[in-house]
Amino acid sequence: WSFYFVQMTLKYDAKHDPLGQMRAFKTAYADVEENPDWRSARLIERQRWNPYSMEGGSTAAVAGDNFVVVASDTRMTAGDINVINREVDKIHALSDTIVLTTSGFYGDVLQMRKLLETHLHKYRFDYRSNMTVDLCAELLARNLYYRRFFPYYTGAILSGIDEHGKGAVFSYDPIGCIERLQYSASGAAEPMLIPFLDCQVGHVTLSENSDRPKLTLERACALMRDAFRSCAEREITTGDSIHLVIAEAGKPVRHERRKLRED
Amino acid sequence: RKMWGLTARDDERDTEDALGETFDVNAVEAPVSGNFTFPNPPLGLQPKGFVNAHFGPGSAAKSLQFRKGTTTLAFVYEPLTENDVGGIIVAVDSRASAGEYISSKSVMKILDVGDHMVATMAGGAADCQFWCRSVHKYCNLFELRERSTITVSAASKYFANVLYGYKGQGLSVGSMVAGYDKRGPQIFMVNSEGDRSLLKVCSVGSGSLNAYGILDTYYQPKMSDEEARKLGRRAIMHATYRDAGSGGVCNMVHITPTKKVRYPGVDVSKLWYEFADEIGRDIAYDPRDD
Repeated sequence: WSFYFVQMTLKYDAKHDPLGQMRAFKTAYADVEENPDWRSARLIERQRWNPYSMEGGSTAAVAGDNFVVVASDTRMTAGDINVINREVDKIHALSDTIVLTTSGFYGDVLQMRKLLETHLHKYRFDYRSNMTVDLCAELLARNLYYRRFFPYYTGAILSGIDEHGKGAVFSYDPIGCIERLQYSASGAAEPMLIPFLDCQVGHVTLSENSDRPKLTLERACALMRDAFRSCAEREITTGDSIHLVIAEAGKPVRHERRKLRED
Repeated sequence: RKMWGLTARDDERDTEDALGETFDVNAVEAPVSGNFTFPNPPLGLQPKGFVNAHFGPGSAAKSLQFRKGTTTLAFVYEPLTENDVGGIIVAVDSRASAGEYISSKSVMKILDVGDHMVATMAGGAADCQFWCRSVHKYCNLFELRERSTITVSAASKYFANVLYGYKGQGLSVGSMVAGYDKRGPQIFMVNSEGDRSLLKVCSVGSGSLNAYGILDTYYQPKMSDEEARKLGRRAIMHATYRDAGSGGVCNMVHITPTKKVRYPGVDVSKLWYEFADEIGRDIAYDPRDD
């Protein structure tokens, strides 16, 4: 019934501009879709509800033959301006073989971490062994997608040692598009970290015939420290200290912290 | 209720679940078929507008936009000689972009839906991955229950029906379900708008117009296997050349009457040099002024 009350707000001259009527109709239709008659001022106010905020910071992960190095900074900012915490943990080691790191809204990060910990605990109860990182990766992809219409505001990276003892890095988008890669980064400095890792770990700038340096644990850690040191120079929400987490096959998870610029 | 937005009873619905019990159930328990509903934003906000406002183009989340996939194509062909097999060639690129940022250059956009079927990914990457998995699960259950293989028509019909249920909520899926069954080789293009069409030559994505140009020029209903593979690769290469949203490597699957063959990915820049050599063209674009 609302069709008869649609106002053609655009002027059109049917004789000289026949398409003008179509254009006027299309704008009127789009207008009714955007601003329906039944929407009151209270509803318009509700559309502005924003549950999210970005707390800044960046994270990255590199997988090797039998290890995985995960790094992040430890700064939390509010609205890109205030530094509210200089010692935040953005890397969560869920077990000796599974490490979750995320950037984005910290409330959703904590909820996601609680969800994964609950699932890991339930898995251990049901099957009497620890969940492997491959299964956990698919689980996280599903759980991110279950929130397709009210997403978690996070760019997650799940890393760990898979069941064959090799390093694994899985990267996600906010609704759970999963991909297994050799390295990944997420957060405010992602456009700076990925080209660096493409060059030093992916070797995209080397020709096919040239020698490639082997990715040892020492080289991976050094690359991560260098990457974050250079990001802290050029990105305002990254800094304060680097938190490195190293997971190796058959060994417990190791933590390392180094100071970074605090400005 | 979802389609028409807030009703008069929505005010009381907001306070019904004050302790968030249904939310916890949905978040922590694995969803049982039939019991699961996607949690929507509160306050009666429509999911499509909400997700667009916070994750769409122009939002604050530059690196947190959803990954979108791009050029995919598939075509059916018959064998030319006795040595050829015929079937379906499915070729895709491998780029996923989050806004203007290339978030991945090695996405696998050909997903398995059954032992003899594949589905391609175009549009939203997470949407396609999730719903193709869901269709795969349905196909497996069908084959266990009915003890015979599912037809491509049935699988694509199920897919289209599921997507129609979420029509208008902002899903973005442009998938081609391709496979060989008792009716022969078939390609169905399925859309998040609810469209489902049986096609012999099909391309979906931002680079699809470029791919159609090549396909329409060189496609023959009868081709040899080598010609068909080359056509698939050529179309993808041209699409990646002129479309900024496509690139990476060209992945290909050949579905024959008896099996699915996956070919290793070929970098599209290498393909460019190969095809340029073929027509004797130099890498520099040098229009002669004779």
